[in-house]
Parts: sequence; C-alpha cells; structure tokens
Amino acid sequence: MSEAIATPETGFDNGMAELSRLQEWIPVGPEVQLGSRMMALINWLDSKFVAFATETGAREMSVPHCIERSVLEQAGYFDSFPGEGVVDENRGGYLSPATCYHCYAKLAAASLPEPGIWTCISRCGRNEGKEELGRLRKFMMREIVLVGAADWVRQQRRKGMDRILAFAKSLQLRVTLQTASDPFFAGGAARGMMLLQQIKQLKYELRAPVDAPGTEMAIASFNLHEMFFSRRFGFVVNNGVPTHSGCIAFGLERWALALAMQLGPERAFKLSGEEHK
Amino acid sequence: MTEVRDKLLGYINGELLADRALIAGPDTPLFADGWIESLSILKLIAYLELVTGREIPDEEIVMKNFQDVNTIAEHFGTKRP
Repeated sequence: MSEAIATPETGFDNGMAELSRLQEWIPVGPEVQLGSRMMALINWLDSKFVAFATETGAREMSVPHCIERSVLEQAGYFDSFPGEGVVDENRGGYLSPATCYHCYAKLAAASLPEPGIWTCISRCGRNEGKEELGRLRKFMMREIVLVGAADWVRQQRRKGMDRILAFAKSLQLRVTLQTASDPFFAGGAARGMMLLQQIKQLKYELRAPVDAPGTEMAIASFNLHEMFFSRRFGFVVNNGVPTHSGCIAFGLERWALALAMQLGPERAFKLSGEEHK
Repeated sequence: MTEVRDKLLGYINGELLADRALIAGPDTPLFADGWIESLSILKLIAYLELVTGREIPDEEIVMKNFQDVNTIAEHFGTKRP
C-alpha cells in the first residue's frame, strides 16, 4: 500500500538454521517450542511494550486463560472471520483469537467517565489453515486497547505507530508500516468489510522481512474499530459521546523471531541480557 | 467524467442512502461518519463497474480514489479499461 516507511536495511544471518541448531525454535506441528533464550527475549520485548503502554496512561488488565464462545459471538468474530477456526482448550472455552476480545467483554455495559487505555496479554489461538513461517496455532499477544472519541482514538493510534516504529528502528529491525486489511474470505458482506477497512485505513501492519527478501511477517497491527465493539458490548464514554475503540497488537513470538532472523540469534539474545541503548 | 459523477450521485442518493435523511453532494466525504457501510460499498462498486464498463480491482479501492463522488468520477470516469 501507499504509506510504507522503512527503517535502515540490515542483513540476514541464516537465522532459522542457527535457531534450530541452538534448539531455541523447535516447530512441533503448527506450534513451536521455545528455548529459554527465546523466552527471555520475548519477556524483554513484552516489558518494553508494557512500558510504552503505561507511559501513555494505560492500566494493566488481567484477563482469563479461556474465552467463552458467547463472547466471540457477541464480538461478531464468526461473521467477520468465517474461514477461521478457534482453538478449543477443552476447559469450557477457547483460546481467544485476539487478546482484546477479553477486554471488550470486561468493559461490557460500562459507562466510562473519560477516554481510557488498557493493556493486557493472553495466549491466543487460531486455526488459519495456512503454513507460513511465524503463523502459529497458539501464540502470545500483548495488546493496548483504546476507548474514547473518534479523533482521540485515531491520535493515540498514530502516536503508537510512531513510537513502535522508532523502537523497531532503535533495535535495527528492518520493518515497513503498511495499510492492510484482514484476510476475510472473498464474497458477501465480508468482502465489503475488507474494502471498507482498506479505504478508511482502519488497519496498519508493521511487517518485518524474514527468511528471504520478499518474505514478510506482520509483527504488530494498529487498528481502528470505529463503533463496532462499543455497540456490540454496550460501553460508552463521557456520558454517551459516540464511543470508538482501537487496539495495538504485538505478536510476541514473531517479534522475537524477526529479531533473531534479521540480527542473528546471538545478537538478538543479547538484547534481553543488557539494556538496549 | 461529469456523466459518471451525476450517475453516481443519483445512485448514492436514490439507492444507497434511500432510507436515510441524508443527501450527498459531489464533495461529501462518503466514508466519514458511517455513510457508506459494508454492503453499500459492494453495491457502489458494482454500479461503478456498470457505469464505467470496467472491472475495479481491489488495489484501486483506496481512500485517494474514493474520498467523495468528485474523486471517484475523476479517477474512474477518465481512466480507460
């Protein structure tokens, strides 16, 4: 898409072969087992995202391990993503396809005195039926959820994009920020939703090249939902000002993988051992 | 271009917004404040393809080309298949 911003180019370092040799990224079917140094890198990255969130005034929200099917129905998930399967945890619920659904459920029917920002993390699950590097069936997602008037939510998303782009640049992680749309199945109202997303620039993705030139992986997304979730879950702000929401999502395994593949595992692992300058 | 613009305005006001107390002008931002929704955009694109006689690829369905009726007509009303 038209608005692409690239950070300086860095080289590839045959990262996947090295990660395998070190036993830090071990694919097991559609899932992955991580070594302790990858886990440390993920925890370090998450601490950075939490710090960014709290700097902007976010409150941390604790969310449950599983999500009820009824919450996903209320969120319109099955209508919006008719081709995706959810991951059943056999504990009376599912792994949420995105962390922010937990947040909207917690905000249901709330009357908020002022705009709000929350951050939460959860293990997520998606059966997307695709085999691609970094496309995992179960993964960790940190999210920052924005609720307020339309202009405020859009401004907060812009700040988030600028801040995270600068963070990636400081790590020498090569990324592009691009408008995007969710991979709805073509046809019917779902295609209309995808095109609206595209026209209104509701979704941006931060994408990192991995493995080889031309192969990219989305490591973060910056989304505007307009009044979709506030209407479905009945939360309002400032005594009923048209209430919009947005979210900023980080795929933690993908961030770590992109760093390890672009910088080389050893250099990436050092980030979690010493504070980045 | 003028013909495409006039036809689009007629279609949007007569069909897409028929149940609403809204009248779009040539420079009304169509995608602000939820004027056009997911089903409506599909109808709008189908109508635009009919009027211009060409298929509209998804790549061209971006805000730059769909800001309002003037920009739609300018982009699609002058471009040849």
